[in-house]
Amino acid sequence: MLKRTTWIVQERLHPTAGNSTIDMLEQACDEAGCALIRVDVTPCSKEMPAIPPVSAPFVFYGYTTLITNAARSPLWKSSVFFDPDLFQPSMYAQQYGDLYLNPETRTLTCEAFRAESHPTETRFFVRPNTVLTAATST
Amino acid sequence: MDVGRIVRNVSRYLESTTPSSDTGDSVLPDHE
Repeated sequence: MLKRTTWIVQERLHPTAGNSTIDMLEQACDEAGCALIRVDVTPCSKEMPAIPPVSAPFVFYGYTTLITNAARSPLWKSSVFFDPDLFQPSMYAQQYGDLYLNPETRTLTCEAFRAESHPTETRFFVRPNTVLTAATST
Repeated sequence: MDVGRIVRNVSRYLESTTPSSDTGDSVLPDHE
């Protein structure tokens, strides 16, 4: 059986270079002989949008809500290129090195930071080691 | 950004790495 990839793409993606991203993907899929399914995603929802039955292989393309929900779903997670252990600033700093913005970034626990000795007037920029809104809002 | 190239490369990769046993049967949607 001929395998053709189905692209499951979120509606209303930001334009790419002034063009509709989903339209560009749809045209590219047409040219590659692949199907494209548009899905409407409710921001910050924890539920998968309605998706018609599809055959493997398929891949998701969209923003954080769609990708993290798909990654949590036993049914859909195999088609998400997403590893929460890699999707965090400490990993960016490790992999990008000097190419990373603020390469001197350190990752440590609040307890470890409190145990360090710094002049009282020193200011720090502190952020969680995650970029997932779901992780910071629950 | 060459969208066509991305779609071709990703699709080709998935089509070459998806076991035949995984194709043909539709994945039914889940609504968790």
